[in-house]
Amino acid sequence: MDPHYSEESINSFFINQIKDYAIFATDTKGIITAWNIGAERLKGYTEKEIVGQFYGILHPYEYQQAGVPEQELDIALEKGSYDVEAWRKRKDDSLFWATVTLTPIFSADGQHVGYTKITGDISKQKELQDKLAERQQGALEHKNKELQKINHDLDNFVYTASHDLRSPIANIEALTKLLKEELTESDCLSTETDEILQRVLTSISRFKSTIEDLTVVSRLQNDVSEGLTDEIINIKEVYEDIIADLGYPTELNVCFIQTDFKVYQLRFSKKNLRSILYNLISNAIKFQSPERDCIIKIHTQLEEPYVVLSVEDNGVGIDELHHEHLFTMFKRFHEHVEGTGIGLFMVKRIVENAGGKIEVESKKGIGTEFKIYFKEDM
Amino acid sequence: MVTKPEKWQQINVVLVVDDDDNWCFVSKKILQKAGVGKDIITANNGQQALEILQAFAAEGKKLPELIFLDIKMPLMDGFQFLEIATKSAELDLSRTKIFVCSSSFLSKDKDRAKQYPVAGFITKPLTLEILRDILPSD
Repeated sequence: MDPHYSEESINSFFINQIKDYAIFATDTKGIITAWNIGAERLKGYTEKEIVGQFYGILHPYEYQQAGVPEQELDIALEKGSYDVEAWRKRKDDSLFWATVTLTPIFSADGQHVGYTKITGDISKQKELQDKLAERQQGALEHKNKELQKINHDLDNFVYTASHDLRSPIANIEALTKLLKEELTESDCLSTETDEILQRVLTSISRFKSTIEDLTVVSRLQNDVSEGLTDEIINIKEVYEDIIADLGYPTELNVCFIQTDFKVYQLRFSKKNLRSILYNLISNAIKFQSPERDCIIKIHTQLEEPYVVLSVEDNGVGIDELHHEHLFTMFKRFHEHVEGTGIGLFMVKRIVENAGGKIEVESKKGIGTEFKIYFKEDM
Repeated sequence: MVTKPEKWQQINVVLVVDDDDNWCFVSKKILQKAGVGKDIITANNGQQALEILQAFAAEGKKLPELIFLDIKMPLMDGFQFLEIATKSAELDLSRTKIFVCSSSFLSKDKDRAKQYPVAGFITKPLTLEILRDILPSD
């Protein structure tokens, strides 16, 4: 008998006395040929009972049916060894979480003669890990709830602030106008005081438009909580509606707009789709480059599981530095262009609230492409 | 610029109901400038407004032809006022136009106010243009 393959070699004086790890040997087919005391303790079979049986008997029935024992032998032979943490079965059918190393054994002349397998019971370790994971999960859920509450409070705050600020600012505006009228009627308005009053009125109107934006944001949030109704929308109709609104072609005849609606219908809130498309198109027009004709390409296409709406322009482009702040409320990047910095924030909010996402690709001096991914669940 | 008082259909008494004194002041000024109402009365909440109307009715006087009613007020808000005033047997509001005023309308507020016989909604502030829109002139 080959000394490497003999029962004596594995059941040597040393290995046999290891009690905490099951160590056994098989032939090339996985038939058990040797079995130490640790194996008997861990698995419940005596050496007499087990030797001559296929080692797959030590796997849970589900693994056996799935052919796992055979696969493990193949992998070990191919890779030189196989390590796994998985369930193993005792003689009494109870399961334990095991760490397993399966190693192919070769004779001195390089012939594959069998395998050795070392199995440890790490149920206790697993229990601790599970407990830890559970605790982390609990902490995470707690944190999530807290964040949701903070978010909700913040929305409420925006809502209340925008509504409560409207009344006094409208009041100040009315009073200032009255004051101006009174001063005019009593001939007390000088060039100097008139300029001051005019500046007060300009500030008031800026204040009002900021409040207006806040109201729009809070209304958006309300729409979400009240579940704005989705409907099947014809994208082209919405587009044509917006173009009519923007005064095409009389005022925008400097822009060439190409459309290709490969997906022409979408289940979404019509009002929100309009908001999104309106913002993207008006941005593309606003930020056109003075150096070339403005070309805007708008198209839709299916990219499972999304419907993608893309608006691409050849305008001034956005500096890479600003990309991450692009969707922040009240951020503006171009001093010379009118705006309050609410548009893209709203677009992102609408899209994300509906389970979609927005992506931007832009190079300064070349152009910008916004891609909206609508979750397609039709 | 002197605004020429316009000829409105005969409006004698106007009642402005708002808890914000500045709003009452502004509304009163604008009404005076426009020449609407010989008498402009103000009340700071629904309760006060109700008491004024009840006093008018008790004296046999004609109720105001126009009421500008704020929604959010302490003690008795615009809705509570509408509920009591429009259902009261002693108050004949058949020749009174009630306009609900707010600096920002929520659709649910409008829906709620529409359950009562109101003449319309006005987003504050009241202006001459708004008055021209809502009041028939001769």
